[in-house]
Amino acid sequence: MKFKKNAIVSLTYITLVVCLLFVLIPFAWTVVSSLKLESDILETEVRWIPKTVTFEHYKWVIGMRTERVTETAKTLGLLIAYRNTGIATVGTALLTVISAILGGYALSRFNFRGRIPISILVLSTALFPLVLMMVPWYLILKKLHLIDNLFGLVLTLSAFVTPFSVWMMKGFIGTIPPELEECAMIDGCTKVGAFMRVTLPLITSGVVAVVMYTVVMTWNAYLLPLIVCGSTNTKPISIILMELFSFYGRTYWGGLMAATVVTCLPVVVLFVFLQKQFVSGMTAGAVKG
Amino acid sequence: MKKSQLPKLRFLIPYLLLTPTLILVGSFFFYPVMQAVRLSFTKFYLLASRNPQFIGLGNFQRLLQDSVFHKAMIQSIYWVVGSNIAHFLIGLGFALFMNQRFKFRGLWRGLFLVPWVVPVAVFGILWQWMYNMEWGIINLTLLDWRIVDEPIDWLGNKNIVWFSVILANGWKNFGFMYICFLSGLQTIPGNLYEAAKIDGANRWQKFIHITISGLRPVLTVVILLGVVWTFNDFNVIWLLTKAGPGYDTVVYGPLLYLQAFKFYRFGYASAIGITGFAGVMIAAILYVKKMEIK
Repeated sequence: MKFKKNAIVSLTYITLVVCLLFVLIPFAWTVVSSLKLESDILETEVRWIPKTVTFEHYKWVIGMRTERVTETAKTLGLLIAYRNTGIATVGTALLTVISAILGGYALSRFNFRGRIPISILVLSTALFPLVLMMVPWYLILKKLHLIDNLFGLVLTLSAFVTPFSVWMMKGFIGTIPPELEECAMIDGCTKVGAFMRVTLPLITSGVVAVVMYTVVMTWNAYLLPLIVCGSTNTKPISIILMELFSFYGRTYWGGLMAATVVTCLPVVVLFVFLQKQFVSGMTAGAVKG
Repeated sequence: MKKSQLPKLRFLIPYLLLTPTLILVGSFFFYPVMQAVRLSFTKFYLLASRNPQFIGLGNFQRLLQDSVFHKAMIQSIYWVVGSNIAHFLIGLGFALFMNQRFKFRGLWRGLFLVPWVVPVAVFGILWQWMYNMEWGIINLTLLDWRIVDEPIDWLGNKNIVWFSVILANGWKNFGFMYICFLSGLQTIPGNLYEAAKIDGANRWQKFIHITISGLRPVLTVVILLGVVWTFNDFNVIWLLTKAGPGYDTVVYGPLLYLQAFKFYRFGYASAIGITGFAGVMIAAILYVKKMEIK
């Protein structure tokens, strides 16, 4: 009996290891490659432990090592790309959180004419093909002179993430009893004051979920910047990574691997800390919807 | 009091609160769709700097004869079915497995979601590097273990490329089904399994009649979203193969992109887009009616 139990336990852990390998091997191979010398990367032998560990590729990413492929680094401007992604993320998060709190509050607390049709319209955008939107989006942004402009990117990204964020926020606000605000108003708060002091602190985890969702989607964006960002001054890191990959046919693999690791680091770190809120937000939106 | 001064305008508050959302959604989703419909009846080359020229159903007639479009539609079916089977199997397998008790469960649970939250460009690089013919770990390992004698061209051989892109997409996007199944599994009361055990049900019967039927509500929604999202997706195929070799992995998204932003045929591209969109929406509505999702 004990033997059988041990067998089941070890089988569980073996399965766990297999699953983890499936998920982690692409990352592990990239991290290992980013630490190898360029000559060792291009060797036709399986080597999971680098012969020599080097950080030269990381130095190249942050612009400290310019002697190699100087032109590539200059033209591609990795650091500017990280800056652009950073600005786009912050801008999108701000715009989205504000519109999500306002919209979510309206949809969960008020009973007004058109509430259900509006909810359906907002939710249905999840089924729209982004690639079809690109043609009109391009024309709209061109008309507004927002092509190759970070604000144009922020605006379109916010439009893209707002519907689901509103839906998430509606769910979070719905869990807070409205009586709490009424009590605060009896104690002399205004409607806005009651919201700020009572409800807002209680939906922090909802705000975190929305921000996390925005960050993931902004770093994820590839098609949109491919079309609206024309120059180095606005291109985010996702575009630059792919350009680095196909730069003049000959890829500088070490630098590309290091840049890839640096690019996924912020998202992964944030995700590890905020996993719980993110998952509850995503499933609340999808499963209850 | 303010409230009594403006009693008649109180009904405006929710609309006011919804204004930012409605502006964004209206001007970046609903207006564009109408514009795409309008463009689909026109001949419009972006670079020609001429206004769209109305040509009636010309673009749609051309669609009927366009062999690349036919190919894209047929391949979209392979792509959607293949990817969703992969997502379903990996997602359900991982969710069932993670629903057990063992050490550091929270940590492992989260790790499985990392591929899903990682930027899609990073995904492109990771898998280009895995599938690389000369230095990719897959080929190196297979050669090392003497499973193959020659390196395999994972993304360039048209007999293998579908397997490669679906596997990579399975890795990237199983996370959504996985978290939905995981939260669905937690709503199944444990005493159902005990009752089934008393009634003498075997493992397989318990799995079908309790687990799967308990997941049914989640399943219907998740499959709908999975199918629509995979059909609409552009990034995964584009980052791995750029619809190649030739047009062997062209599907809806990449085809639309090529027509619009490589050949600058905005009118024709809109016609492709609208056709695909209408097809998916009709299928989705029929599915919702059949499944009676509320």
